Amino acid sequence: MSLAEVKASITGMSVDERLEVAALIAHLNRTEDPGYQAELDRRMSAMDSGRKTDAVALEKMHDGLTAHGR
Amino acid sequence: MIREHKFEVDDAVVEFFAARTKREREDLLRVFAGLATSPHQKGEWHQRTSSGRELQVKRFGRWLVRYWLDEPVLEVRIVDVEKVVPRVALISKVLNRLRIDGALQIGSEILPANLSGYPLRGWAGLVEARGKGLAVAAGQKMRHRAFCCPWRLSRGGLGGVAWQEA
Repeated sequence: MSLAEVKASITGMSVDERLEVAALIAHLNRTEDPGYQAELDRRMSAMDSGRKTDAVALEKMHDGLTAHGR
Repeated sequence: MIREHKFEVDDAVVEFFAARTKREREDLLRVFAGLATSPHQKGEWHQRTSSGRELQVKRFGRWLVRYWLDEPVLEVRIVDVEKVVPRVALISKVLNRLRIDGALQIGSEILPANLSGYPLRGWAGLVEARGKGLAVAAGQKMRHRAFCCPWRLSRGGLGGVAWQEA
């Protein structure tokens, strides 16, 4: 498929289909990025060691932000 | 006894969450809760880390979520979330400040040039607009380049990229 055909195909897509394409591109941009891969490892290690936030805390944060008009 | 899963999020996800609007936070809470309710759902794609661990990558509407299931402790661990499409309102504001140069094509590598200084924060988003209304495409924050996905133009027009070097 040529680039022009790809573009024409995207043009004819629904919004949700375009979102899917955009998500795919976002994923492809990340998937081979060594810096991002290392960052994910860092985050996962931090979570393994207990640095993580559960639903209760996140909902509390949400309520707090909402109470302040955010 | 029914074993229920729960979700846990990374600090960076908390930071991302806190920066969202009320409606977006509510949306994300629903997404996270849905993952905890259906913890075995697979992503559309996979993401490997530098040490070889694997994450599920799944789109929920405009959110792209990276997560993995820690089954022994019944936790869905949400490691990253990104918004697939920038807000139109923000793009609209940015558009008025940018000098848009040249049409882009899918896969184009955009070098950091041809952009008037606008204090964008943290993302590079493709904007295309002319004719009726505004057309927006997703861009990806990257170092030294942006990978762009053109959206439909209502009546021809230009493509461009809002840029800030990472």
